[in-house]
Amino acid sequence: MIAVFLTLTRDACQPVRWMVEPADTGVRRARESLEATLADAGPVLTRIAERLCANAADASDLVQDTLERATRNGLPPDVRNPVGWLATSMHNLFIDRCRAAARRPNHESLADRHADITQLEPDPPEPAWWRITIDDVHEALAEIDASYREVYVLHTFEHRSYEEIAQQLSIQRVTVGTRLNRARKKLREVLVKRFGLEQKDA
Amino acid sequence: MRCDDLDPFFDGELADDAAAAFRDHLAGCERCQRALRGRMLEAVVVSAGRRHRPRIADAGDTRDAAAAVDAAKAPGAIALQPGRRAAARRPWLVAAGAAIAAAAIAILWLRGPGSSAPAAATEAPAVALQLAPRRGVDVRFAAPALDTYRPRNVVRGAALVPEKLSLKELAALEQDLHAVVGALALTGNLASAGEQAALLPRDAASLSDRAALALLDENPQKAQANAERALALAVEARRLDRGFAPAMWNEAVALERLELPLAAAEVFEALGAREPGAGGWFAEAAERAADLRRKYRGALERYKQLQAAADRMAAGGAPLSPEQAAAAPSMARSALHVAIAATADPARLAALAPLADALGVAPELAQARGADPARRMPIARELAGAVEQRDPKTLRAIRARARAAGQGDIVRAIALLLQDEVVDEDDLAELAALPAAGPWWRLVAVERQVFYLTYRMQRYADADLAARDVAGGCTAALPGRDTFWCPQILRTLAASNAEIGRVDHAYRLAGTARQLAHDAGDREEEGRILDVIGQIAAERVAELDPGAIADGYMREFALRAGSCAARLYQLDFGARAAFNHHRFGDAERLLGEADRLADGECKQEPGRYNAETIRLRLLVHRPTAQRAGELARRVRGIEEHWGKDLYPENRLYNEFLLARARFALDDGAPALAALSDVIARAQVLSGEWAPRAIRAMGHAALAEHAARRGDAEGVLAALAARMGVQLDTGCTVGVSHDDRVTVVVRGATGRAAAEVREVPEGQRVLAAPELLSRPMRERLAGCASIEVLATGPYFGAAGLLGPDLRWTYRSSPRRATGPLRFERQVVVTDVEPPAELGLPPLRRMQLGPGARILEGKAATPAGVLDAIDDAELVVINAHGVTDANEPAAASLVLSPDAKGSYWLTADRVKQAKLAGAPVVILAACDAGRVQVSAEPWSLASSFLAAGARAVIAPTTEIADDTANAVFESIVQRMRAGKSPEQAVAEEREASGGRAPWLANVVVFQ
Repeated sequence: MIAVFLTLTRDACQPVRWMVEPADTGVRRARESLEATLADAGPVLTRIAERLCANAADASDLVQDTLERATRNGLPPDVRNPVGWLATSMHNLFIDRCRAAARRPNHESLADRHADITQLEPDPPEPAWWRITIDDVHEALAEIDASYREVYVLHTFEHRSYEEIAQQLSIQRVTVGTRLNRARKKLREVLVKRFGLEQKDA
Repeated sequence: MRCDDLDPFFDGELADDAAAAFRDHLAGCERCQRALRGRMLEAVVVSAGRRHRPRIADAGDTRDAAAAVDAAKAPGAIALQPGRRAAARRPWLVAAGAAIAAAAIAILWLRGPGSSAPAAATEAPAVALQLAPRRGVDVRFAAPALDTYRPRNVVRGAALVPEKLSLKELAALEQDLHAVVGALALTGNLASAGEQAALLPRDAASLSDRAALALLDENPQKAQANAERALALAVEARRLDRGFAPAMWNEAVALERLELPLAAAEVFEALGAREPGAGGWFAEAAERAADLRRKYRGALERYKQLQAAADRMAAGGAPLSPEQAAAAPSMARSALHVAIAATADPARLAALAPLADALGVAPELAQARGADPARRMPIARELAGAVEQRDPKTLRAIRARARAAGQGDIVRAIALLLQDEVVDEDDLAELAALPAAGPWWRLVAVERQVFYLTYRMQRYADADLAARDVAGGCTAALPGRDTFWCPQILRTLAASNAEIGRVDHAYRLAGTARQLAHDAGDREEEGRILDVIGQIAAERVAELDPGAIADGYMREFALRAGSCAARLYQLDFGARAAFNHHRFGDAERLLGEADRLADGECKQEPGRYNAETIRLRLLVHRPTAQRAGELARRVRGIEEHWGKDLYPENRLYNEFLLARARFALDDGAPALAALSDVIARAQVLSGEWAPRAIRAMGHAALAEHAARRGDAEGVLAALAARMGVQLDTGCTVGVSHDDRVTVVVRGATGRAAAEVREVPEGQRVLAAPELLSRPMRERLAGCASIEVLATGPYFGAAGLLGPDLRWTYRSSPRRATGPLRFERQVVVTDVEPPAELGLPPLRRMQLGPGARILEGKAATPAGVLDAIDDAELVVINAHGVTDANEPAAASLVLSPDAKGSYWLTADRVKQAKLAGAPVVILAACDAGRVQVSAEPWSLASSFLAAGARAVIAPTTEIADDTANAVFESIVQRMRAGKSPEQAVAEEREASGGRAPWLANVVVFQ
């Protein structure tokens, strides 16, 4: 007789599935390559997911689902930056979850809707991140205003919070946010000039 | 400005509630979504610490990545790893052979060092299953141990060749319920597998497995239902995991079972393309896709060649061979009639004689041979010159000359050539003469009449009547059934029946039509029928998503048609069906697909009004400037394409779309005024759908707007304006339905409150008893009587308020009709419906000596409407007919008149004038049922529109043994001075449990 030991709940996550198909050549090399890619991407994706999600468990699930999807479906044959591609995949999953969770999206205040209409300043175009290294970012930072660069470096590379930066530089917290925003815009402008516009394959 | 929160959000600087609000915003803001993606890519670069530029399109990288995936699919001993590690969140973890290590990488690091998750699955011993070398099923199960590829060994006529698995092997699966389900099914224990599957969470794997189980059910009586069920389950599985291979496979198999080869091929092909050259399931999927297409094209080509040969014969070419005629006899006969009519040459007629003998057309050939050549020849020649062009004007002119010259066969042949033309009244007169030429000609006449009555006149009940004599012959499983005209008749009849609420009956008719066309090899007609089946399927009430089933048929229809119009229609239709069931993600995806098509290879297709309505509804649900801009751009495109040719109602509809969109983004006074202006103009505009849609959606928007501002009286005012009734000051419940539901309650205190309710994903409407929240119900305490103003599907819904309350639906302007009087009473009873309907006789109803009895053959629809024109009380004791599970309007079945007409439809009642302002009791099953549409109509509302003071009608089946006593008692209570709603409420209390159906009797005012 078959006994059932596990209690399954409706909110249980999707199980991991491994498709069983005929082997290809180069199994070991391929496995090592995938392992390397995932190992490389894991910490980065986790840090990003923790920024996006409300709690660590959600972040962990988001990353896990991203990697499961990648493992199950594989990477596109022409992907140039596997980690970037995984980040995009995680972005899509995250947006899907936001959509699923958004119960009353129309409850935005009128001001919010006006924001969509009246905020005419366009977002700067995204540079071709798949071509860019951290060195390129450092070089590009040299070209932007020092006050913006300083905040960007403290936040991005030294992982300081807005409040810590504000105290360190004796400026208001809101100013930190403004400078950081402008630093990102300027940085993109420089990177776009050097590396061209982003393409969809990340 | 919420978009400005992107950086603080991504930097972790927002408070929890602000972050949650931003996530909500993010869900609908594509601009922020793009920007967030950029931030994430930037973070990858600055976080990775990578110092070296990546190799551009390095082949080694990509091959490695792809091969790594293959590594995860390596065979070897197929092993199950009971999932100890996954006990909390991953109830079963299965890995295969060499993939285990790679799997561990993907899983283990997630929890990281110190994670509380259990240890890796590799601790448990693997269990190998000794499966047969070839698989005995055509489905796939989700559990990897059972999903290893094996060549097919499916026995024809049997869905399952059971596997032999030992109890030891089965016991080893116990911690993996998915594997248990699959193993039980493979060993032939389908019932047990079904029971186990019911215990699983509703995830992609279990849904896919349930689809597989449905496909393995061998009951031939349920073959179609099982395949449709499997399709819906597989689609639902893919909704959760779009690329889940077993679900894709099962979806394709379900489509194949439904004989939708191109749709099945599309799914198989997509699966095969995932891993070209990988062999196994992928290779078989690709092969099956190719095979399905090849077979379809073969059948299509054979029939097309037959059609071309028939056309050539009609235009003067060689007669069809006996084999060709036998393959499609009715089509061959049509062509032969034209060929005979288009010649006066004795040699040609002689050449056609053998075929005429074979097809039973010899008498007509003889008649043509014996005709006066001087009278016949010029007309026949003229016809010969017109056969290929088939210009309707020319053909009608020839027909007039043929009639004047007494050439009846030419007149009839022209009826065949005008087959594709929408007929007018003149054509109908011509058709009326056809049946005299024989039963085959009767089919021709009926096909045209039914088409005309359904699509041109929207007289659905009359269409049903017109086809009554031939429908039985077309649907009966008789040898030699006509396969050319019958499918067309049944297709149109199905559409007609769906319109009058007999949706399940319509589905059966369409299914028969399809089978006939399919058996005849006519793939094009079958494709047209698939469109009708898809439309009906979307309206059916089903346990599973009807949209998924409808989409299967629609996909096949569009793939067969191949035209841009059909492809766009299929996608827009699917989006609409998805939206109707509040599946916004699906709706958006399908609409996006259609848009890409419309902006690309289908640029020439104008006016996708359905699409614009869906776009608007999406915008209303998640207002963004981008969506509004897209809507405006496309509306302008429609205007530019049609220019001055646009009908005024379409132009106003365009204005409405834009005004409503503006209102969604900015509900300030100017936007409100603009929207109100368009609604007001729609009130006085003629036309069918556009003014109705504008009124429905417009007033619903105003009601919802008022509710959100806390203006409950404003909600009531909008509802009253929508329904054209004058608002009273007493206890009132209002329900406004568009894509959300606005509910308002004014209680005994005179103060009103309103709320807006979302309909859960996958549902079409909220259940009536759930519409009012407890606080809203509590507001009704102390109300002596309650009026309900309800729109859409909630009008006439039983159980909206409890049986202890006295409440009525309100649907017409209040009339000053004075106190109830019952001097002129009419009872319709003992009707004699057509015997072929098989309806059981009902008990005779009597209301005492003062009532006029209309009974038996006299109780025709016209007879009843004549008899009640000045009555003050009307009781109609008859059968109501609608499909039991369908929320569609009912009609009453009365005695047939001289022409055979027996339907008393809402439309027919609406045109009557009831001068006595009667109370009408419809003692008929389902008589209170209401159509789900932008503007509800029903028998009840039609009686009210015709002048009735009130209508009492059940919305479910009623029991004949208790019906008379209950309705007679209600009448007695009204005679004693009670209002209709008081009488019904008192009768509910008095009857106890004697007539439980009384809870579903609704009062309309």
